[in-house]
Amino acid sequence: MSEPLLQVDDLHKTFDRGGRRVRALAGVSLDLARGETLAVVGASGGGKSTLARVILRLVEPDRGRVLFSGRDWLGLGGAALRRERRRLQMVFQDPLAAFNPRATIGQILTDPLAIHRLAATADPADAVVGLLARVGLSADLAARLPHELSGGQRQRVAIARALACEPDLIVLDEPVSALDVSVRAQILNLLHRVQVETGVAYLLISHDLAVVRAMAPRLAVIDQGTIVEAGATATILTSPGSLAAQALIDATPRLIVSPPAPPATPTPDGERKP
Amino acid sequence: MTRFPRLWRSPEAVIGLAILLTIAAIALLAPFIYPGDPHAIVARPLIAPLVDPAHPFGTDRLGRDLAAELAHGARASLLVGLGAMVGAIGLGAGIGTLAGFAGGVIDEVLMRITEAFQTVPGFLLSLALVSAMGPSLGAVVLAVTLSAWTGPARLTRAQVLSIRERDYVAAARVIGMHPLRIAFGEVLPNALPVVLSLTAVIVAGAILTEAALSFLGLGDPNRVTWGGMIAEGRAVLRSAPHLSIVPGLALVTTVLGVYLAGEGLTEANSGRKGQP
Amino acid sequence: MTAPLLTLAAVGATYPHDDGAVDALADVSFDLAEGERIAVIGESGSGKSTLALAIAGLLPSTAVSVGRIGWRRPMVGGRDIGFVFQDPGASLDPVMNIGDQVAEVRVRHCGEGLRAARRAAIDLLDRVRLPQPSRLARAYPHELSGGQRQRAALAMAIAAGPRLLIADEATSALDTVVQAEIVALIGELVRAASMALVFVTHDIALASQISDRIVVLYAGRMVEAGPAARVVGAPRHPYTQALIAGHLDLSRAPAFPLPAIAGAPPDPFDPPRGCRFAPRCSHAFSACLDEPAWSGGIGDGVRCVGFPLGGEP
Ligand SMILES: Nc1ncnc2c1ncn2[C@@H]1O[C@H](COP(=O)(O)OP(=O)(O)OP(=O)(O)O)[C@@H](O)[C@H]1O
Ligand SMILES: Nc1ncnc2c1ncn2[C@@H]1O[C@H](COP(=O)(O)OP(=O)(O)OP(=O)(O)O)[C@@H](O)[C@H]1O
Ligand SMILES: [Mg+2]
Ligand SMILES: [Mg+2]
Repeated sequence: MSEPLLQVDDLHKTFDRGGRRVRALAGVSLDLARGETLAVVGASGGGKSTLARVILRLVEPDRGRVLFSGRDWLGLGGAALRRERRRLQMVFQDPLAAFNPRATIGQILTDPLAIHRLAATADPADAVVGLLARVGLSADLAARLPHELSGGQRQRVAIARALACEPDLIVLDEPVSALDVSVRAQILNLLHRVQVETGVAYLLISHDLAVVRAMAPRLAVIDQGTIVEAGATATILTSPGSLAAQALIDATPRLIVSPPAPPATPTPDGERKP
Repeated sequence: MTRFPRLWRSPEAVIGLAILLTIAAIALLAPFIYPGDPHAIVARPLIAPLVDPAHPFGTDRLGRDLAAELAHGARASLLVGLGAMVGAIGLGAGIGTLAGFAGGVIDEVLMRITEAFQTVPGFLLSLALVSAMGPSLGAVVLAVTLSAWTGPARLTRAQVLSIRERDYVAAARVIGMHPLRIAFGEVLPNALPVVLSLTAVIVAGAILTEAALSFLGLGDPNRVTWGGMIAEGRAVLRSAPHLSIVPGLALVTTVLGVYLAGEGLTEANSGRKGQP
Repeated sequence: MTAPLLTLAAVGATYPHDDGAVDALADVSFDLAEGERIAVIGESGSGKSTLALAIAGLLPSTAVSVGRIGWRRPMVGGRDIGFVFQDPGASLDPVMNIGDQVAEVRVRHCGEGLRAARRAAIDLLDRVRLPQPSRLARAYPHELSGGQRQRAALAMAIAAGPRLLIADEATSALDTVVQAEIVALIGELVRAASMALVFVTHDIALASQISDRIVVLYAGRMVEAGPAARVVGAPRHPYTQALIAGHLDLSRAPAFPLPAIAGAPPDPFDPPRGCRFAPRCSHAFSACLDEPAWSGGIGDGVRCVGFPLGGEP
């Protein structure tokens, strides 16, 4: 495993917005090993999503280099690119927006299987059921439309769609920030299990440091289009070397547990110290 | 599935659909109710309406049954309306999708062509085409299609431009879907509901254009058409106004039905999004 | 002890729908003292906005509300109650500069002339820490960033010196850094003017930072309430306990699997019978099929049949 799975080298991207030039990426470099999770954090407008979109070939950079499995990823085009896309998948922040509102869950999951001829079984319906089971969903959801699912179920389907491609890397752009607090942990657990089972690598984009702390041993801090700091998550969180990282850490809400006032009624959980 | 109950709640839609279904039934059943050639002379000429129970709408100058002509004429009107709808929306949606989704040079070229078509007055184009191709129903449909497709094309393009930025289009690219399939399988179906709101205008316009062409004698000579009937009646407008008024009323009723149903459909469609 | 500023008694609301009504909120009772800061927490659809709107008297006319909301003295919406929405677009007029929008509130509610109101507006924009307030007063909402818009909305909400500020997820759409700034700002403004605060959020950590008291909503029911330190330090309802157990902390990398609540929030059209959390509760037993009663005092207690029995049967 000497060769990194993904090598991003000096990416630049400037958008033209109403005559004003916005530098979204100003020389971003990073690399990611097979099976690893790297988090990219940063304040809004820092360029996180643009970085993801460039890596996914949804946006073309102005200059820079991306190597995927050692091959020039930006040089691919047409059918060759479409074939190789299988190995690099994405889970979007808003799971409702990420599905064609008119397609059933079954169709949504059949598409990647059909495009890449991946169905292990002869019957695509069986493969769909298998995919749903892998993300903890029951088979009868296949007939539903995306808006008929809960937020957590939708994000599971999004993960299943990525898994259908048997990718080497999944880019997760804020995968839980649109979800209810009580289902976030379920999705993070699922992502963790999937990684253990398949050895897929994650590029996790988030501004929630707590999620990053849980998921990613390595962290890169992006600010105004450049990586200002990168390294082990634990190290950066305890002794940040950049103002951007410091600001994010300071801004993360902490649960304030002052010793509870003596309760009027005896609390059975008094001893449960958080 | 919830579209139909919603449709029934709008009285305009119910009335419009009832009108259209009735006219469609008459058109379909015309050969059975009035078998034989509607141009056949069956009685003495110029019977007034509501006198002879065998000919409720009376007869024309040559003694042809007005009711039979009306029923057969409905076929021409509906065929033209339907054909123009399929043609104009199909062509417009296809070109609009390509232009909006491909962008760049393709978009430029297609939009310039659209603008060129838009500057030619529709009826003039129809006149020119029908005189060049010879009068037939197909020529009328083609003419109406060519003058009406620009609206759907522009509307589709605008829709596609906004839809192609959605995450689900990005998601389709990420799984490696072919661009043509994304354009016509993912984007177009979601753009279409808005574009279909133009249906009523196109169908009504087509029916009226056909009538106008027939009125000018450029209709299909082998078919009875309402426009042709009005033209026939013009010669005896003073003495037998019903010859023009009856097909005129049929025309107005049909166009009204198309508008009402179209309105109702648009309403039912727009209320569908974003329900839990 | 002075009378509370606000008393809620069995407040509830339902929204009629084509297919059945949504019972969005029921049986919410608590007091809010002058200058007290209450956080209302709950996930999407739990009824947080319904409660906030009910307090402000802003429920849509289609909603059917029950219960009693009593004020110590007559309150005028917009003057005595300030409201900040999640989307500042809901309170800002896109075609009017923000200085004039703030000034308008002063003219309407404080009887000031336009000149004085404009001066006061610039002062208010300064208090919400907008940079160069006299210049930004002439800016239109679309020229501001999300955080700046939220500051402007806040300036409008406090323009007439309200006794109560209601912030409905006022920071949820902002990024972490801006969110922290706005939360700190709200805290300062409220303290400086000893305004009461109803702070609606889905983040229990944020709630613990800004409030004296926390009200926990789940699927339209007030499942727990109490002093912030007590609710966070010794939660009684299994839902609150799970939220706190599941809170991810920066100081350590948690072990997988993370503690998670099974299942998903109930369908508002078809909520479970009895305790609405029971289907997801690891402590649920047969008694949970009955609607649980509130145990404890007003604004400090829990709605769980398991609790009087010992919390974890
Ligand atoms: N298609 C686009 N056209 C114009 N400007 C863009 C476009 N996409 C991004 N930008 C700009 O580029 C900059 C970086 O945006 P990006 O979306 O990458 O940030 P981000 O870090 O993902 O922010 P957030 O946390 O808000 O999602 C911003 O200033 C943004 O306004
Ligand atoms: N105007 C309305 N008409 C009909 N139903 C409504 C309306 N507003 C809210 N509801 C329903 O009432 C319930 C509670 O909604 P409410 O907006 O109070 O929740 P919330 O806790 O503020 O959620 P969120 O975090 O998504 O803002 C939901 O099931 C919602 O669908
Ligand atoms: Mg982003
Ligand atoms: Mg709300």
